[in-house]
Amino acid sequence: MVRVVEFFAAVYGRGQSRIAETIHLAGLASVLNKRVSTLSKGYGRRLMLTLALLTPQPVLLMDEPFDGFDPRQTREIMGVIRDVASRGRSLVLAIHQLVDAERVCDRFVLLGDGQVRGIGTLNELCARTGKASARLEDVFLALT
Amino acid sequence: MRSPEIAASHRAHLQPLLLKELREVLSGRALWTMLLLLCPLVGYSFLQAVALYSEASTSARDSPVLAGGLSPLDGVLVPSFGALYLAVTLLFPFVAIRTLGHEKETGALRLLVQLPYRVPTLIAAKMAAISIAWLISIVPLLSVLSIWVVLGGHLYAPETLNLILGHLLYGLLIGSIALFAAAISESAATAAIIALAFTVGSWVLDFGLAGQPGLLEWISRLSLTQTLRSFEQGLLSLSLLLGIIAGTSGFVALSAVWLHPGQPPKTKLIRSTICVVITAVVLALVTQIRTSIDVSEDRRNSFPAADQRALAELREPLVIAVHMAPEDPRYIDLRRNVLSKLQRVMPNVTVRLVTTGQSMVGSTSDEAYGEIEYSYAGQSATSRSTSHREALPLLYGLAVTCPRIFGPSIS
Repeated sequence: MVRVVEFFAAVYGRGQSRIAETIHLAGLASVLNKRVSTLSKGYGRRLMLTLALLTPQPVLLMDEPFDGFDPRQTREIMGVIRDVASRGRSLVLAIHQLVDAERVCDRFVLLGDGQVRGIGTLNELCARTGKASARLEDVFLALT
Repeated sequence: MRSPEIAASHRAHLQPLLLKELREVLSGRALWTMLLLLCPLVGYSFLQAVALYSEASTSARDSPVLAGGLSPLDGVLVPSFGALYLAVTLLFPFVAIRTLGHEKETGALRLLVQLPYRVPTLIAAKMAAISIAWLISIVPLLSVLSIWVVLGGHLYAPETLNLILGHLLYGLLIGSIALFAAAISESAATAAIIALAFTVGSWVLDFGLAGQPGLLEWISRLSLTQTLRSFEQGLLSLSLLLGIIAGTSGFVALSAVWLHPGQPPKTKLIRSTICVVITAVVLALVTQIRTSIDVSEDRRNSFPAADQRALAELREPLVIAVHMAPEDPRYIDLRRNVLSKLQRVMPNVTVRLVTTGQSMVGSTSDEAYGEIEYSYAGQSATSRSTSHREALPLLYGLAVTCPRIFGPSIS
């Protein structure tokens, strides 16, 4: 797996320190010498996150980034994502678990039956549904 | 506005990509399995060739005519390279498929196409890796050639290099076909079947249709095996060279079209059609080129120098009607000794095979069977000889309008 990470880093001209930092951030250090095909689903997700973080793109699109993680790991990855966002990158996450989405995201685009049902921060969505301090799940159910 | 970091990412270095492709080929079992099989195959072919050549040389010691016909190109080089031909035809596709098939199966291709490389760059890197794999494959061949030289054997550099060039082009053509097969298939196994259908299908064309008249003969020329014939005869044909390059480029372009998993099939089909049409046009154009260089040491593809000069001055169209079946050994002799040499040296030569209802078995009742009719500048003459020693004086006799060319044929 280390070859895959090093290849991506070489393509984007990342140095060893950046590689080490990203690997540490994503929690990949313990499986670096394993083959990619032998990784568990969770570590596969961490590898994809590592590769994404090595790219210079200002916007990252992540599909179900917490899939395959237990609650502790989910919280850990949320911390990583918040950290990346705080450095100026935008992350677009596609998430079915609205509890997770509410904990990690700043703004929401709620989709139902292929239609956009609501866009905004949780407060804005709550105001639109008339449910002050409601959970995202309640807002979603009210809008769809 | 694009950030400087993103702009820099679009100028990604090629080195990591090339190293990755090379590692992909070298880490696969296909290349090493091929080498494992190729080494004894080349060794056996070489030993057999040297044994036969030595035997023939011993017999030729007392016969200058026989000695003149001996050539290391036919005796040692071509048989030894035959092992490489076999390995490249049957095993090299697996090596080439490895460069793409594994990525398609694991899903790594979806990541690869998101990197800041254009698809042609990705394909070019894969072709570079395939070329290096081919270079590794000829190491056993270079070893036996070195042994041949150390043993005191003679090698004529131009014809040896020409043969290596032919095999390189053949290897790249097979590699590009395998790459295309991998690009259109979801699994390496399917890609292997498609690639082998091309190569083994070529053998079928070769054995089944070669020597047949008309359209069948034209189809048999599409055989991949045909690409090596000229090189094995010490002939460097510009038309063939460009034709193979065009064919290889066509398959590489098709691979690029089918590589990206995100393109809709309709777009791929339209682009493929454009590729095929362009390749066909280029192939049609390059077949018109008649330039070729005889790099053989014994100048087997050319008449004597004086005849070459004289024949080059015959500008009128020459039509040769051959009353023979295409599978007749005399016709094959005639092609090798006279027709192909005339076509090389004269600007306008047309060969017609008059084979209406003829075959070697039923030919005895036809009085004209075996005749070769030369028509030049409104005159014609007939011969039954397949040797240039009789054909050329006949031709010079027809060229009465150019008396200054008579000298060489008499001498």
